[in-house]
Amino acid sequence: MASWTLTADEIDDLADGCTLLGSGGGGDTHCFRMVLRELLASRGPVRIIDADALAPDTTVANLGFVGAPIVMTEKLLCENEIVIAVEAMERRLGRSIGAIMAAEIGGGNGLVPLIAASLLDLPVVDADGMGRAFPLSDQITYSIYGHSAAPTVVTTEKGDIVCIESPNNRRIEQMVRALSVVNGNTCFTADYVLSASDVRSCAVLESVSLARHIGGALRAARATHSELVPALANALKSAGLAVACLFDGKVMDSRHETRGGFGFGRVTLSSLPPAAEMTVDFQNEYLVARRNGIAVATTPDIISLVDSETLRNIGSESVRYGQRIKVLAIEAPQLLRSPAALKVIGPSAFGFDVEYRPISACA
Amino acid sequence: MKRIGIDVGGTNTDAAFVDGDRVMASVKTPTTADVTSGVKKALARLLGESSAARAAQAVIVGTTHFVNAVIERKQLERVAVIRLCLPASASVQPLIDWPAELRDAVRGQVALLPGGHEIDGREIAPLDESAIYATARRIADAGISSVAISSVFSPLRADHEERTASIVRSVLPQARLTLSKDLGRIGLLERENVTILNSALSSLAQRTTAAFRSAIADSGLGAQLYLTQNDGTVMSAEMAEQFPVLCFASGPTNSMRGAAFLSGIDEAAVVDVGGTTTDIGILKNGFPRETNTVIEIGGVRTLFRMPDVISIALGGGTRIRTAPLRLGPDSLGFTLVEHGRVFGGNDLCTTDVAVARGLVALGDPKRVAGLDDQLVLGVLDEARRRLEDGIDRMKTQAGDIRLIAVGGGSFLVPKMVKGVSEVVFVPHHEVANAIGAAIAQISGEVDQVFSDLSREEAIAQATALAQARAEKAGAVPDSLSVVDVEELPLTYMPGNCRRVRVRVAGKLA
Repeated sequence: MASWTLTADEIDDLADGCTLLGSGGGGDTHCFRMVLRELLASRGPVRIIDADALAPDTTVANLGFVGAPIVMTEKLLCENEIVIAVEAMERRLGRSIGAIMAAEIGGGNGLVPLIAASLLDLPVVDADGMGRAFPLSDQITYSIYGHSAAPTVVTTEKGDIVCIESPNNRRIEQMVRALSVVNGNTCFTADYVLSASDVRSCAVLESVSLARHIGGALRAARATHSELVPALANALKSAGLAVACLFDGKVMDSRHETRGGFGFGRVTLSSLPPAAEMTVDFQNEYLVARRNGIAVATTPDIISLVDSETLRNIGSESVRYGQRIKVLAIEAPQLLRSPAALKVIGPSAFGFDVEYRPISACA
Repeated sequence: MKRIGIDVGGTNTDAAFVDGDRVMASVKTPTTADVTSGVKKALARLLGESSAARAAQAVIVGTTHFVNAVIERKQLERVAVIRLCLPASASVQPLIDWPAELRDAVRGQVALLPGGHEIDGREIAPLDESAIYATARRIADAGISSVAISSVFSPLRADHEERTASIVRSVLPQARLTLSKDLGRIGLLERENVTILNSALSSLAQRTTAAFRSAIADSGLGAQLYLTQNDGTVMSAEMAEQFPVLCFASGPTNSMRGAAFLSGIDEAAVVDVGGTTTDIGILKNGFPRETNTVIEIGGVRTLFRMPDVISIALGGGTRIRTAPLRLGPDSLGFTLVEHGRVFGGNDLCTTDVAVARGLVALGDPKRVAGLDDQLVLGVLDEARRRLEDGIDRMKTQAGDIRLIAVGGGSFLVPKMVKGVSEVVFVPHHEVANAIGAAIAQISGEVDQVFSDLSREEAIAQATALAQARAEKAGAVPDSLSVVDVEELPLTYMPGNCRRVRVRVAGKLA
């Protein structure tokens, strides 16, 4: 399928899939769903195209919010930050952007390109740079496989526009992060300008379709009261990915703090009756799950905390004492598991003294 | 402890007198338009059945009055909404995710104004006081007297909401204001939704609590008045008057707790068929299963922690229209005993059909003797279909479960239900709500800023304070358990400050 259009009926499926792939981060989807619904109603459908269907001379830009997810539940979308970012990028490049994509498919950021597409009348590429969500903007396949983040355009709801250039993607991330702190731990970015062939060679492909497929499969399973974990496993199998259920228990403690443009914290769960304990550390996204102190799943695999019964995702900033939760680990796409990738997005990249073990080895 | 539990539903007002673990007396009376006389009548009849009830130390009222007002879109006030946020949040208007019908009933003036705070405590923009004055005057001109005020990150910094409230009050001294910081978790849209719902109910809440108070006083009782809230614990009448939204789930919570108490069953589905609606929920360990996800009230997203219950428009008073056959969604409510066919009226409702079918003996069966059989069966079939569909939606796994049927309209529940292994009917089932209210737990809450303490020390201190408050309010110390902990680091304040909220609950002594 070279392209498809997103209808209002599919927004919830897509958003639910994005949320599950978000590893607890990527931002809440609710407001984006609402805004997208209004935009589809007033401006018509949005087109999603395969990377293969991109014309060779198409310029593609990545879009997304940067910051602490909790802030996005208070400072809601303004729309203007998106429009001025794309316009500023086009001014800087001196050519138009022909298609846009999500820097990360996980969470609310997975829906951002669709909102932008509607506002700017552009197609969305069925791909993203993370296959999930990550805390840092340079923890992205494009950077891992040699592309520059420059020029990066940073905008805010207050109308600020900053264009950053640097040969070093990590320094760009640090400067973006500093700007997000100035703006209350959130800002909007347009970055990683890519050619059509760049997208085909180093993006995580068909991730928008996968998210929609996951959401649809869970909806169908809920409607028939089928087992949800197998339904999810089935949906992921279409993309060649595995899922494991690591734990089922109750939240005993959830601590978090917002600093430096991130939400940091740890969730502690106890089994019922209390026989085992699981801790899950997060920096915006869940990164390391330990069972009785031993790491059983780590980044880049996706760790999702979900309601024990409904499998509804619970983001890192929404975990609360007493919730009954299952901890799921979803295998990361192959592009994220190479030795080069693990240096940037493996557990040691976040300061954890544990080795990456694929979940297929843990299950 | 001797307690009287009262459940004020849309159709019936029930009362039960509970001494320790025993139900000593219970009565069922029709709800009246003025609420007071219905409660007075229920109390009078209860005292008639058991004079010992006069010694009750507490009258605990659970009411679905407020949530019914939202669901039926009745008695709601038009609300002016002031959100302090600009230039942020501009694309997501207040009430954006409300059902259109409810939004049209509630939305008055809506103003997005500069203000609110960043997470680090800085202002997003300074307040524009002249714009607030101008907005307040427009609200006054529109004749609106209920105002909801929200502000970005107000659970961290409430000063913009407070300053705005004082300006609005100076222009509109009689206005009833709800500030989102008082209902607040982080999550602007959901917090604002609850604030607006609270505003829409504010005058109904004043009238209703006043009615409860005078009914108790007029009955010659010296008991303290409490209302039950969402988590099944009691709160003071003053608190309920200010925050009627906190009473939203008390109906289902009370009926499920009552069903567990009466049946001795801790794991089951519960259906509570009232006069207007049927609530369906799941008992786990004798308590309602709570939802982890966002709760919708009448289609509106909130951040409440509530029992995972669905409400369907089916009850003993559900109005029936023919040609074509249609059930509800409206109910005769408390006018059932006047307008219902078996009671001499002309309206047809589900109770009339149940009487015609011999499922329950009420009123004058002769008045429905001539009802068309096809109609009777059609209505009962539709009722069964709605119940089965509702139970099916609540089940999280395939396989049959036990079902406890309670409520005054439980005669509408068939003995055999698809997906159910056994339907359990219990004595006093018709007043399960009132019994649940009578046995409601007592809580203690602390919500304050702690400084110069580690996180663990702050939570421990807050928990100890909450426990002391619960004990002082009459809870059995050994029965207390923590039901909620919330902690917000206040990074903008010096000295390692954090807002800690701890809530504990336990049995009434």
